[in-house]
Amino acid sequence: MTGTSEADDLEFDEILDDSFEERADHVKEAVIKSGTAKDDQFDDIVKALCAKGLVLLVGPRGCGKTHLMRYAWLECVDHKDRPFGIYTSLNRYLSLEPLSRARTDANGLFHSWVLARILEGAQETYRRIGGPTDYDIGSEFDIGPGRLEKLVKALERNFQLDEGDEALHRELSIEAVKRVLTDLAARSGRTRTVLLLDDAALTLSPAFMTEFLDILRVVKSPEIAPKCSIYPGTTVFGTRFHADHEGRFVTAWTAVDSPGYGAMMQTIAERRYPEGLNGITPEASTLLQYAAFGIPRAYLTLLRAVQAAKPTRSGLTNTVTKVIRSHRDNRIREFRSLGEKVVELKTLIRVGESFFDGVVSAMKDRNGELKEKNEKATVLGIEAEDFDPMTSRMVDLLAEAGLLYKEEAVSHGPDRQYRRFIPHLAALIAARAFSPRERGTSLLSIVEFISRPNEKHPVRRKFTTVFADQGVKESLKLDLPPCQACGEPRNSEKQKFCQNCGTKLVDELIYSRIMAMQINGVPGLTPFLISKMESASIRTVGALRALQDPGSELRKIHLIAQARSDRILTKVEEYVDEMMS
Amino acid sequence: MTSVAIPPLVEVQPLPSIDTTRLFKLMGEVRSPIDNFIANTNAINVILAGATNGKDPSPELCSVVVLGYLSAVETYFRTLLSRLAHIDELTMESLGQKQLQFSVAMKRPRESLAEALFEDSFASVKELKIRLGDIGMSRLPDEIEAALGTYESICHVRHCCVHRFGYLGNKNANDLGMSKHHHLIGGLFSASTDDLANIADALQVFVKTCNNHIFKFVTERTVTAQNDPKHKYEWGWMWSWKYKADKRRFKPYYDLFALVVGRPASVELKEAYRQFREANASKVAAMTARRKAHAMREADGRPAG
Repeated sequence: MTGTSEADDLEFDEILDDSFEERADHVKEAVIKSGTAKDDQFDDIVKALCAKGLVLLVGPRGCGKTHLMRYAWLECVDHKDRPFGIYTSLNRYLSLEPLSRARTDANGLFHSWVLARILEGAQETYRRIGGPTDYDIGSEFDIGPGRLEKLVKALERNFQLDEGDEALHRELSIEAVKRVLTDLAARSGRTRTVLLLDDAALTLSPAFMTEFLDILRVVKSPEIAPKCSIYPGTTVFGTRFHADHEGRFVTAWTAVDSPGYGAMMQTIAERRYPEGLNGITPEASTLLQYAAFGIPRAYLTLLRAVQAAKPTRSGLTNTVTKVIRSHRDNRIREFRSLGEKVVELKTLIRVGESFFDGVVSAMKDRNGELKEKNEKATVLGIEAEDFDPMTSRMVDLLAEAGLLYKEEAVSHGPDRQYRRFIPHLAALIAARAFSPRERGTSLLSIVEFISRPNEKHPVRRKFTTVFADQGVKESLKLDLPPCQACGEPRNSEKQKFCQNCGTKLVDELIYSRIMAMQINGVPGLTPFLISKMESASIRTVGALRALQDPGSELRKIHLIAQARSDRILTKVEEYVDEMMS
Repeated sequence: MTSVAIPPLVEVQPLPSIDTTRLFKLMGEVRSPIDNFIANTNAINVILAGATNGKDPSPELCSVVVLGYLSAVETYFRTLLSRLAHIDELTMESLGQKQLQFSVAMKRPRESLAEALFEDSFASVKELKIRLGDIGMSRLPDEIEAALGTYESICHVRHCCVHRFGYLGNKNANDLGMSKHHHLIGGLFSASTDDLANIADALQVFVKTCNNHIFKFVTERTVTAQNDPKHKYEWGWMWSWKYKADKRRFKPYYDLFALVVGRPASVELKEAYRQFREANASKVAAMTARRKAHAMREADGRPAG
């Protein structure tokens, strides 16, 4: 590499360094407080999060669940009349997955990990509102300071537990934790507690989900109200947990056609990224808001992408459409990444993408027919009877990724129920579904088309029709891995032993698949940084994380000093967190 | 006058002769007990899959499968403990006072004498605990303790299969919990394919867990004993913590406990030794420091703390 090109890369690195934070879990408290756009829906959700009773906060990735939870927590911290609020994230749950190959009590260890995470959150709140700033919650269990954090770290990093860790693991019971929480709330002058459990979808580990639901059922009391953020569709509650009976669902996703959507998005941009609005025309801004499809973080990302392209006034239209296309591609790429993590879902993801394309195409065709009327088509209707377990799972995965938004089912006459979905608007815009038969592109005309009311009935389709239109010939199935010993294909999902050689069938850990992912696929790392790491034989995420002291090892590479090594580690950890949640 | 033979109530045929010397064949390959256990249980799994072809097994097949499985478990423990007695000095020491039958001592080669010590059953928690206690493992790790309840339940099911053709008797119902089982007394053991797979899985996990913990216990016990000046056993050797030097001592343990044929296989010998050294390094360092401090205090004429 020449000196000049390295210098170019360095410059680009600095731009990377200056990027603002879009993820709410990395945003500073002051920004959460001041950068939040509040409307009636927002207020209702925060109220539900601070109220009594179990609440399941539902929304696709990135729709603002973390932001809402952290806001609710800060409300509790700042106001004495609010409950004792505890915020904790369970996004690292998958890092405990390898324990299931080393210990028979892996589920029990996960149980202790959840309780320890709750206690860590309680310690943080108590330090803020009641007790001394150096308060250690270990004192409630007669253990030394830092022991709880040590256990959490040991479990997340799969370290060998020492005798102290094992003893604490045995001592951590739901009853003991409830007692401590009630006590801390009382000592802080609060009458009850809310547990804000973020990233509680746990979709990649059904065994941990079962364990988690057991905790929820027992921890819930008139004095302790758990609140969990989950994904639409793929969060499975199992037979022992009746979600409707145990609590209530609250939607965190804001529909794009809901009143005040545009104003809310505008406020968020004004408070979090005002410079992003420079030079953006009202129609460009509105179109980007539609393309964000109810996800504030996406709107900020789109604005940033437009600004990074530095468009001229005449080039703005071109830049906006390009940025929206790229956003659509990224959403689909994220959906595909699920198939890379969970091999069993490969066919469902592949066919799901074709199905999604078919839905977009159907909407485009219908909008072409509606061109001269003052209506638009964005809603897909599929008869409830058309769903089987495989198509349901496929649609749920699309909903989790935010590519399809599930609306309430509607009845079209006796025995005819239609399930309704709205495909991601960025995909519809990118496919020119709102500019039918137009040669050029006018942002204003697209915005006007989207602003039309929806036609009365959804665009009705059957799965078989969409599949046929898309040329999908394969049938939906789970891609069960063959027997690891003899390679014989499996007969069924529930099968435990190979019918050919009798070996116990073992699935590859999702954790291992994530660790095997290539370092060049980590978003936010420049080609320069990637090439530097590869020159030091760090080619996978796991290779970097396996280093005893990754920071020091990175700094041994030429031109990698403290700032760059920190940046690499941050980006990789963010990527791992994202993949595991 | 010759009387006509009265036909028996139930017709019989000539009794076949059974030559037990033709019924057994010696197996040449010596594998680790855990490898044998996995191979044995895998063989049962294949038979079960072939016999049921996706449908639920008959009650008779259920009984035979459970018997086969528990037999594989018993064989595992018997082989493991008897072979351990020949490679682990402290196990040898623990079993030193046990008595053997004279006929066994006369006819069997020296290296298989210990097997005669473990002829009794392992098919109950009580018996298993006694046998593990015999090698010095009197306090079981939590992970094994937690799994013993499941093992005991399966042992009771086995008891019904062996002695009552699968019918649940009063004593087993009582042991399994009368309040939950009283209405099932006299009922026939008839599990679904999934139930049998769960039993098989539970026994495999139980045996693997025991294998890991017994390995840890006996190997780490050598370290503790060698570094404890009060320990009675007189060691003729010490761990040097150098692979080349220790390999000869460590390999017999590895060969006895590692899964080599089964999948996923254990780590290689060298890696297993590295983990053993790592797990014990801090312990050895602490013990050495204590010994030195003790020696210094004694040299200074101060009382030992």
